[in-house]
Amino acid sequence: MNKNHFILLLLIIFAAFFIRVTNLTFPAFTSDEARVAFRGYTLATTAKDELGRVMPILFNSSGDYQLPAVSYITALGTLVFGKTDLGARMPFILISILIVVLIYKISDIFFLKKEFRLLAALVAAFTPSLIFFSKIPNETIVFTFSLILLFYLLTKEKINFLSVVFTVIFSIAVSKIAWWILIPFTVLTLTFFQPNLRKRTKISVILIVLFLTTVAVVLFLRVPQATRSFLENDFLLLQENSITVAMNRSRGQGLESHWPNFVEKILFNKLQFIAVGVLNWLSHLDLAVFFGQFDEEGKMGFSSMGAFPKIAIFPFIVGIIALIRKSDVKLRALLFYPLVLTFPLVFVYPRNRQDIAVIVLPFLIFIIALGLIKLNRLLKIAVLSLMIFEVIINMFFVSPQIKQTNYSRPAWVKQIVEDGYNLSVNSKVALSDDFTSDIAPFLEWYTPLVAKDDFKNIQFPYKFHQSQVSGIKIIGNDDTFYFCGLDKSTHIFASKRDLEEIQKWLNVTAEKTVVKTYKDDLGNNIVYLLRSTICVK
Amino acid sequence: MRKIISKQSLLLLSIILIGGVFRFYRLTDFPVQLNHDEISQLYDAISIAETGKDVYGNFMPTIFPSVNDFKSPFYTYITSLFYLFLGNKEVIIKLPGVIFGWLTIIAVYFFVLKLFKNWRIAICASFFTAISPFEIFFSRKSFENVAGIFFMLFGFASLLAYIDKKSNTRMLYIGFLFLAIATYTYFSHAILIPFLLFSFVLIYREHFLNNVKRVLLPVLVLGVLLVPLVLIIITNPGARYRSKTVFITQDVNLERNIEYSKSENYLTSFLLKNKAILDFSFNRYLEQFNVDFIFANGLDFTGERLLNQGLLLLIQLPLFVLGLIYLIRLNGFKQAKMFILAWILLGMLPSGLTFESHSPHRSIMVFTMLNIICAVGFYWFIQITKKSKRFFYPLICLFALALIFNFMYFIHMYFVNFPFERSQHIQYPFKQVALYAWSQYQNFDSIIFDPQFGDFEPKIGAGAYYYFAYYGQMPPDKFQKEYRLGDKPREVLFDKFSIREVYWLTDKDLKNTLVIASPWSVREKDIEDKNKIIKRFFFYNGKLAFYAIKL
Repeated sequence: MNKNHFILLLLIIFAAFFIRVTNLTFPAFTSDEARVAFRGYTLATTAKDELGRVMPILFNSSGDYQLPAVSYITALGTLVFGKTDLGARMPFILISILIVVLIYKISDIFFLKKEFRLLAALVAAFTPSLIFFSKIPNETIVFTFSLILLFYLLTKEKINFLSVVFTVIFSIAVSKIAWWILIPFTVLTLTFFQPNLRKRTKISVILIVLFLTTVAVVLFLRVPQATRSFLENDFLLLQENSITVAMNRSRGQGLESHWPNFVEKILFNKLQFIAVGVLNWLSHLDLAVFFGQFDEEGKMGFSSMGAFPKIAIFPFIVGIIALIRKSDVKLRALLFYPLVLTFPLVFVYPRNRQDIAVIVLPFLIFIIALGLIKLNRLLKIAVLSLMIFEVIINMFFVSPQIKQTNYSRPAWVKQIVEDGYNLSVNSKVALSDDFTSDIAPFLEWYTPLVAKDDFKNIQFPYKFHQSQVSGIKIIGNDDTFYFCGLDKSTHIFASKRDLEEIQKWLNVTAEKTVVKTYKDDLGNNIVYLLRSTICVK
Repeated sequence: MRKIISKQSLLLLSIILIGGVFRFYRLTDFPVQLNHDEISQLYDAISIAETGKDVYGNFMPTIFPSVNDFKSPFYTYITSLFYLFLGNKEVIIKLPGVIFGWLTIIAVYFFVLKLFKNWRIAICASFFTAISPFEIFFSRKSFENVAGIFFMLFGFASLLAYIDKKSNTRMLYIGFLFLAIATYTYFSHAILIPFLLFSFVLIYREHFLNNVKRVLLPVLVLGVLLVPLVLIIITNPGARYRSKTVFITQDVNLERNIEYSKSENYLTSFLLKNKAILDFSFNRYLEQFNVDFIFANGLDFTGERLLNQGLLLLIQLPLFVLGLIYLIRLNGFKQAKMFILAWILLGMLPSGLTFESHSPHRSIMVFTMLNIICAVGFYWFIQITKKSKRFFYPLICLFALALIFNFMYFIHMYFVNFPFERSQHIQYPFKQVALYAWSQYQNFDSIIFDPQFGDFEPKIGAGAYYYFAYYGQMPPDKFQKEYRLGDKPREVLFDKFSIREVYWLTDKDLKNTLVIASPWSVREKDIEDKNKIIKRFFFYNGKLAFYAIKL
């Protein structure tokens, strides 16, 4: 590498780092991310998770079991930087930077111009989805890193079996998606990128990966709710009732219209599940997803951006055309990765799992870089400038996005839980459970609360919601309210649901009960602090 | 040579016949009723034919106000011609659409033949046009865009014929004439076709610039033909009103995004607002290329996300991919490929810049081109499989089976599921209500109809008075004189009919009146004497739509 090249690479890495640490506290955490952040902190300081369990292998989340790697990575961050946004986010920022470096390194294998490597690294540095996922504790960015690392290791001239084994184990410990795609990924990579490798070596590598993923699946199946976890998260299609209902309805309408029964059975049968699954898979790979809007809700990406900046569609299409016309096998192989890596999407209908599409981004980055080198200098500069400009605009003007994600990423909840904690020092406090999806993680992360061992005996908690956090009561739908004496009084942070309940059953007006009103990011009243003469039963 | 010609013609004829069967089969029965667009255009056409005015008394309008959606005039005027020749039949509103849709099969053939100079691809393209779900659906739906596509295809085929043989300037005149007619058929065509023509001339510029003198007069003729259209757009407020009401800025999601971008700093607000509009528009445009939309649910027959019907058959998806790859790898035909790209990119603009998330009726020209790409893919598929004698016939048989299965699925969706699931979207059973109301004409002093109805949620059925006017065979001149707006909410009055919101608390005390309303307007439990319900009307799926109450 010559000196200029090295300097440019350093500049790209610095720019990548800068753009990721800018506005560090954005985006605000979801409840799951807050849970992981707090968990990392408790693991680092007490070797226990948020439920009081000692160094567990499987963790709790709102939708599924969570594999261990992400939580322990977060623990490293909080160990160094403490219970802060920096501590929770830095490990993932660094992992994202490593992705940029790996993409630069891997670009060598395509034997293109030297600028291809720098362009690929630059695009990776300014890929909105990679930036977004680098700023929150999540498995997506970690798995993307481990996958691209595995790709790098498998495409080296001499395959280091030990490195491959550790990377595979690491991938398996990050995400369940790894269990399904590592085999086809390995086969694809070895086929196209190691054509001269001995057959025996290839088979050995594939068998090792197969063995490790099989062990992971078998061990997981021994966990109590494993089957439920698979059916509710990875294989939703298999228990999706709506398809069967729609088919039966269509068939019934056909019979009512005097169509023969055998024709109805031919047209509407279990094959529909395959068609539905395949279409669901392909719909996650649309141009609109990658270049328009990755996630409308803003939970998995900037709400007004695709996975890539909009202008990148132009070099992407140029790159695709170049790939199809070019005869180089390695470059052509890039076209297969988006399909192979995302095929688990077939089984997740009707859920939107846009995060799975993130793992193909490095391969699409190569295609974009290929398109960029085909452009003339002026166009190249224009495209790159517009890409960087769009990313910067979205990073510096975040208020529209904060409003878009008002409920999924409630930045406003911090003040509420801090006030709640301050009051809990001297008196009882209760919070409604419905003004966010799960209030407990926010309480744990944003306040000095220490995790108790109240739930340490739950060996494998699955979708577990805490009803109590260190003495602070979390009010559920079934809880009721009553007037009580001052010695039993509770500071209630009530949602609209609970305020209406209180007004209805205790026959009081808002003016007489509400002491303080909290607003969300849209300026709507969201939480009401009530006078402390009401208790929760 | 003679054998090849006759094989070509025979194939084309068979395809035309197949296409005709699926377009004309039970045309009067499916869709199960004329929708509000059809009934309004039909009655306006009769009104024009008999009086020279539309139902509102506008003499030979250049834009029809219709149900406040300001329709382009072409389809209504051509229907009035059919009326003059065939008389008053419901089917006359469908005939222009279905005939142009049928003729599109031939237009596609000639267009593709001129574009790729390959009769096999042309035959494949016409075959896919003949059996394409969107082609069949919109042909049977009396949709004016279909006529526009026909004229566009023949127009550009003629221009391509001129390019092949420049001495034949007649083709230039024919091409421009067809394109000029196409601009009058549908609003978006008025903007799109000039841009597309400009792209065509730019792409094939050496053929035009080398012979400017030959081209000049036909271009002038084109300009003269377009002058009335330009005047209509500039002078008619209806045209501007329509553009404004359908533009993307009417989308509630965009309005919300703009609201979120507001800031205390004026400059920041201005920048973020425009950014929000650009982002939203770009994303809306890209969403038109959504795989689900094109191959799974674009025609929206059932309301399901994926157990539905796309604009193209699902089996065409791999053919489309093959077609794209073939075209990219093909050396030569660069101009043809660029024109296809321009056609698709420009053609999606109307759908991409309106307030609806998807509006396939605005992008039919794009799907026609996607069909052509599928035909290229099929042609390549045959070329590849032919190389292996062992696998050729099994693969072809497999493909044929899959195609038949997919097509049968579409037929089932269209003739069975679509009426059951979506009858209310075409205002069913307004026709039955209108016929019944007229059958009771002599028995009541006044007849009130509230068009608020719906299976799952209430909506106001547009153009209800058109149904009453047409099915009561009310003379248009009489309707023009009697039509007026009333004082009550959404009230339209003519003869003894009042189309308005029913307010049962007061309306129940009316005397000698027939009230036809849905359970959304009048709850059955509020009707004290159930014997007063003298008739019930149902959606196609058997659920209650309206009841007629005798007061």
